[in-house]
Amino acid sequence: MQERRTVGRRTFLKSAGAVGAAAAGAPLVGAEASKPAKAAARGKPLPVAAADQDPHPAAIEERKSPYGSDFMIDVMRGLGIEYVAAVPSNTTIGLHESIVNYGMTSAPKLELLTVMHEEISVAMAHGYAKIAGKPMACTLHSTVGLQHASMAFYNAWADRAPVFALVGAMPDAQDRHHFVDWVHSAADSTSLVRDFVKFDDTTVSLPHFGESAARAFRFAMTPPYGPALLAVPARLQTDSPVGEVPKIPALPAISPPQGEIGAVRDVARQLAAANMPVIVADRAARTPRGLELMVALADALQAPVVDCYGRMNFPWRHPLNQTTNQNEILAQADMVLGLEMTDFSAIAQRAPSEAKLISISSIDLYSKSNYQDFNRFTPVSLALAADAEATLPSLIDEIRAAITPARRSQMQDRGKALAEQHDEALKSARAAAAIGWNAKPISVARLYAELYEQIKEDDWSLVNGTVFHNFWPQKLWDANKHYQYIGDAGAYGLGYLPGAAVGAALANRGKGRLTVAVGGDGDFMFTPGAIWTAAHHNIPLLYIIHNNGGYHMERMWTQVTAIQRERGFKDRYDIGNSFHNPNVDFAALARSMGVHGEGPVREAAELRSALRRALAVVRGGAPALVDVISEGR
Amino acid sequence: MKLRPILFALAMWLPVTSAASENSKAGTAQRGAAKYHDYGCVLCHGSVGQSSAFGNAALDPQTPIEGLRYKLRNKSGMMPVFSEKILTEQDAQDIHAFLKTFPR
Repeated sequence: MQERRTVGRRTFLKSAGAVGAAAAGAPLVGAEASKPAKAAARGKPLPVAAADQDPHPAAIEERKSPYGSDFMIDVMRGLGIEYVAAVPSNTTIGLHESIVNYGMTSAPKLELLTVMHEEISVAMAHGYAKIAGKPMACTLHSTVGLQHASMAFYNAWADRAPVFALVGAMPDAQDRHHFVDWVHSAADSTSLVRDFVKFDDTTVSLPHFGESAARAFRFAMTPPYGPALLAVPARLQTDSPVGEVPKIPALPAISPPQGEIGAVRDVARQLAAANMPVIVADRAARTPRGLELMVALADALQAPVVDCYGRMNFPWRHPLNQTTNQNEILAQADMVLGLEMTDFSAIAQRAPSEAKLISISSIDLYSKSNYQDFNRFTPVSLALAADAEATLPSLIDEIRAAITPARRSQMQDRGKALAEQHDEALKSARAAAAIGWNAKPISVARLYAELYEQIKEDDWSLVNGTVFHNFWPQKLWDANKHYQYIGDAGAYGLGYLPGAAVGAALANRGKGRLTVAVGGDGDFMFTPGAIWTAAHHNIPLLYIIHNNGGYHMERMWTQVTAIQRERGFKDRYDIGNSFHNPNVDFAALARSMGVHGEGPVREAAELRSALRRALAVVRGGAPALVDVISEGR
Repeated sequence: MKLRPILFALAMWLPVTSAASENSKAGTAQRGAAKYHDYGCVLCHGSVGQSSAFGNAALDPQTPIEGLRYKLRNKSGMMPVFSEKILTEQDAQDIHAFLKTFPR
């Protein structure tokens, strides 16, 4: 195997100069400028699993289904669902048997994924949907299984990700044969998560199931996306249909809500007239098309873009990407356009008070009250209740029509100045990343620099959030594909990433992409069993543990609180927050589940070889884990 | 917003008025390294001051003692105020000596 180039501190800084100079010399500030220089030089795609090569038909033939759960399988296949993540249970046993002996043995194949925890099942579906653009199904045990899964539903809800979930039920007391059946029964089981799913129902007949499944799918896949849950009685699964098999609902084509054209035109005119319009995006790009539209919008206006990183909203090395300079840019704004924002207020408070704020968000069309994930109220001058991505084509057309030749020239000047600022920010970030290059514990910037050096020629997909990693990938790497970054957990519920990474890697497997996740040790310890599923189902994934030895955020806040109270120092911040004594051996934990394990890597100089060995395993089609003893942040 | 850098600049010129400082010895990097960890500086700033957690800039080894003292004793961003009760002038001197060893 060819030895890859190492990342010396000097080499790293030199490459910064080269990138900066090339970008500064770019004659045109536009989408072309952000394309990778050597697209053809990417690494070989990963092997594609045979099951993923089968084309999935848009609809399936109706067939005679001897059991209720066979019909349910056909309904799910009709909705384009390819995978069911499941922890087996007696309240979903009919479904389980149907998947095994019907769904997996007839086309189009519906594959069962064996999972160690219901929270992992839903997290897998969450991560899968953000790559695949469609739901994975989960089956959950009644009451206790749903209780295990509940936090993951909240993450998916807050992250606007579609999930299609079924929970077993025993609504008829005559079906409960012993005390466990009683403790596993509830009068209204789906109410447990009703506050944070888009739709829930208890289906009591097969026609009811078919109709509610289609409705659940439609709601889940209409922006704002979200999870949906159906309770399915165990007896409905095991009984044979009485009379004719119900019709299988057809998969609908979904047209997301677009902004009203008069309001869109008004927004376009204001943007065209503004001196410094700033585009801020959180979950604006739902699809690959959304990313293209975001580039077209910024190019049309030559306006700065600030990415809040809910999704891959904008190419990281596009000259108009001013995320790193956002404080300076927002201070100059006379207009801020917020697209599918989670916390617009955090942006608005950094803009001048006279700056005009406009939002385009599908959240205005559907929200709930109890869980307050909607954040602080932001007084905008116009709230366009619509899906941002669906509204962008008409907004871009209207902007182009509103720009005069004289204005276009001014905008080009603005774009050139912004391009220079982007280059300066990149140089500064690289210089900052080089500080502590050989530090022990290993700096997070070094970790990401070493990782990128080894994957940049691959068709890579980074599937973890980076808020706890100081956004080093966004500052240092080049990314311009929608699957190269998928945001974070949504609700920041611990235990998200192991499952979500495996789900995302499953969706990437069919495309031959290299999936990489960097996650905290605390998060991993909530749901470590997820990587067993990756090993069992041959899902290639490089999982790097950012091992800072504990709940680091809480360490920091414990110390801040102690200082404010003028007491409690000399390392007492570790009490209750650290995982030392004993340390967790993550590589051994990985190996215990059939996953290649490397580490603990304590020296920066050892990182490259550990990553290289792990990546060789992943490129061969299997998961691998690298435990890196890292700085807190 | 713009007041903070001005105050910081002024602090560079202020005479050392702390009574504690009159009794403190010159700082040592060895003691400072231990205190940098004990007081939790390392949590947010990293082992050699490199971390950019919460948008911090990396710590500058050239920072004069007056600048460090100002940062410790006055509210700035997410960083709490260290009173002399919990972090003495001697501690500040030692941490400053350690800060000067950071590679840049």
